[in-house]
Amino acid sequence: MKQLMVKYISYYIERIKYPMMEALEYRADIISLTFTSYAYMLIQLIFITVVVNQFGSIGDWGLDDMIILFASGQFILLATISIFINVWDNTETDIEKGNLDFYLLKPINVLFNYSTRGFVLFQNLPSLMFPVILLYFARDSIIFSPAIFILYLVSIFMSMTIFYSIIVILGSLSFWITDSRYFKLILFGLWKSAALYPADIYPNWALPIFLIIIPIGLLAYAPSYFLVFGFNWQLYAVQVFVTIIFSFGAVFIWNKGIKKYSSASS
Amino acid sequence: MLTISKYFYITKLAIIRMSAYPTRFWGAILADLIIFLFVYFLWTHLYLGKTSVNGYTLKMMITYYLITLLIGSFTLVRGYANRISKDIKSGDASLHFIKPFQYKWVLFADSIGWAIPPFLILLGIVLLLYGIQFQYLLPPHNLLLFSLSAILGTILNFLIISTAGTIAFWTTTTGGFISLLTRFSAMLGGSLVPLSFFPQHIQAVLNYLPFKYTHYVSLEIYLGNLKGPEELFTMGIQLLWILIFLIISKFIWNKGYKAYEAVNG
Amino acid sequence: MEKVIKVKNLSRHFKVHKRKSGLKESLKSVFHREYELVKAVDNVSFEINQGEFVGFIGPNGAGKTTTLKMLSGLLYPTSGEVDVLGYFPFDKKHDFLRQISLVMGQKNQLFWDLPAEETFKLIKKIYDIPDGEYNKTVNELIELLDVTDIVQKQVRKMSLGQRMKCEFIASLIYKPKVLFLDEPTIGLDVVMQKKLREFIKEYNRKYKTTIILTSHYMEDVKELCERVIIIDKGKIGYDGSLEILIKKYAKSKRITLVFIKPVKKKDLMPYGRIIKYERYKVTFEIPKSDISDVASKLLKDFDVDDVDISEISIEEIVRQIFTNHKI
Repeated sequence: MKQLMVKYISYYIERIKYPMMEALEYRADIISLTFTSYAYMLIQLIFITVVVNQFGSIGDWGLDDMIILFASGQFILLATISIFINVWDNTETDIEKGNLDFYLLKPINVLFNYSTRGFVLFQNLPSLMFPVILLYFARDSIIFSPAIFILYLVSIFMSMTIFYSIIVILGSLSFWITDSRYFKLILFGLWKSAALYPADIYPNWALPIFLIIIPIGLLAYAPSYFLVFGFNWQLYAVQVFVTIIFSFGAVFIWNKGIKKYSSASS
Repeated sequence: MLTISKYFYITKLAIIRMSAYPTRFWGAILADLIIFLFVYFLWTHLYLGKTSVNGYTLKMMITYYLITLLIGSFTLVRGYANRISKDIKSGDASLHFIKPFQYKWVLFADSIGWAIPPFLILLGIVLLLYGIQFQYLLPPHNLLLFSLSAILGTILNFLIISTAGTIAFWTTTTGGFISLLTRFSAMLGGSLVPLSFFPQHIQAVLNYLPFKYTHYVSLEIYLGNLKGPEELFTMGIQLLWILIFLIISKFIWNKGYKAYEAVNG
Repeated sequence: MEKVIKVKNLSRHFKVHKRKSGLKESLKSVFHREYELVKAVDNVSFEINQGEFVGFIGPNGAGKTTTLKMLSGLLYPTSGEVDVLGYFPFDKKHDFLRQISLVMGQKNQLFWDLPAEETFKLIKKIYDIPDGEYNKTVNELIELLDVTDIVQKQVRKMSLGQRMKCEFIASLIYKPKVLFLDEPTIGLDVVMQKKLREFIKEYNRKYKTTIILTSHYMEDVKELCERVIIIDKGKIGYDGSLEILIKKYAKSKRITLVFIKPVKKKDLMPYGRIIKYERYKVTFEIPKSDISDVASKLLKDFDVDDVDISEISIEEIVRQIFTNHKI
């Protein structure tokens, strides 16, 4: 078992070495990329500032709190996509074109191999700096303690896992539905809405929907809640629960899809 | 010389192309509705215990966002800037065989074509909400003036966006910068939040810039925030900005096209 | 001799949605879809020994690729038995996967964005190949295929020929016992095709790897395989020595003549067996040994505008096999 883990980890390290070197080569692209994401984040930030200035707060969240929420959300979304860019971009196309054949014939887990292909984290480091800088500016609202800091990181990690699982599930839909790539548009819609606001604004009926069933509303909310308000065991339990359900669900749906893929290809 | 009927044809093509991808079509509409749902959550929450903020009541606010959703694909469309800059950078034949004037209007017809199908669906939804007397949807103060203003706003917005795309005639890495420009243009047009929520000094500056005349003023007319003669006066300013940009646009395109032809011959 | 592949009564059927054109039909298909059963592979049986080089030939859509996919584990059989190296391929047990390899013409397993040698290194990790063995094998393959200067290039910047060479290296690094080649030379220029064929032949000779090759190019099979399996419409028409097949079926050639003035059929009949006749054009089937004699006679006796001499195509051989049911 340990040998297997070593194998997978060393494979992953080998897999990302080259993209890392590549990132340094294509600087012009990085600048354009960074500009675009900074533009987007800046606009959202202006919106938050304008609204909070007028109304004092959104729920229990003041300006600094909202900035932390926003920054955490942007980081999670951007980092997850950068690490798993292949799953994000190409799953639908690869399934439709039957490009998964070679992955199936390698003695290594198919989802792992597929997910590790393509790694643009380094290209997006400048873009990821923006949320980190925002966190620094909003530091007055942060509860400084090593325990909270670790809790925040764990929560961020869980949110990234949830988001990765969502991406895998969305991509897997292509095993059954053609043209399913546009479901991503709905994800964008949620990203521009649910990931921006604290759960305070939801009416009661919406809470289970956007925190558990389609947990985009949980992604930024949970880690920033811990950072700003401290530990809350219900919220933590919800996040752990959603992480487990979604990660197992993603693997399950993917495997079911692979089976379907194998029976249909010709 | 492209005739009017050709422009209609291009519009029709765009409509057909859009309906060829049903998931894309419905996905985009669903995404917009989700965003609207959260806007609804946010403002109903924020307005608890308040009646009017910056001259906007909750009803006006929800109406604002709903109508923004409805006409936004006309008055706030941003994508053509990048498309133009791509065409220019790639030396695409479309610029060769169609002179700059026609190229622009071909794209305009295209953008209208793409905007019509979602508009029709959203119009259906708005009318439905109106029919069931959705309490947050206010009727237009003056439907005719609102519609005219929206049309003017659409034309102005397209002129601004297409002019932004011409940067590609003179610089190379433009993708990110254009994105920034067009996003700001939309925000200053009122896509994010009614402009009356911006600080006073910024609002003052915006009066002298064209952005608010693409989208925001149409909504002001819809909501009846402008008194009597102000409405026609504002539409006059819209026309003025359209004329200004027609001139700017023609000038820039001619210059740019000369440079383009020198390179691509 | 160790039997490496055992296939018995293997079948693979597909349900294909019958598409009809027109708006009315498209609307109908929203509510009710008609399906057609396609027997891509129909009750096929054969056995292959270690070290054999077997060619599957047949026209496009014959069932070659489908058979190959069932042998490699990509497809689940509809019925019948398939056993490769003692495993049921579809289970895709890792121990099985370590011993087989698949190369598909024009399809890439190499990572597009990496230099070829980076993919090789990743394969080394996946298959747990020790350093020493890896270096020896890779260098040997690079030399054999003459790609020393190319392997550091990114795959997306390579030509198709260079890519296929690197694909071969990637598929052979871990010395598989069975190599499946699906139309490996498709799309390549004649020179490259020849080079690759030489390489595959040499590799099979040296390492006694069992190689299954599918192709619709007769050249591929002629150069490489002692044994050939002809498959068409999912059924096997011939399974045996290629030499015997060629001797039996390719002992004639076709000669086509175009005349300046129309010629009567009865005037042509004495020269040889007529396959096709039109007033200005005739096609004969003449034994190879006689062809130059007959050709020169015809050219002397008639006003000929154009002459064409060709081999009997594989399609014709296949057709003959299936209509004659001989062998």
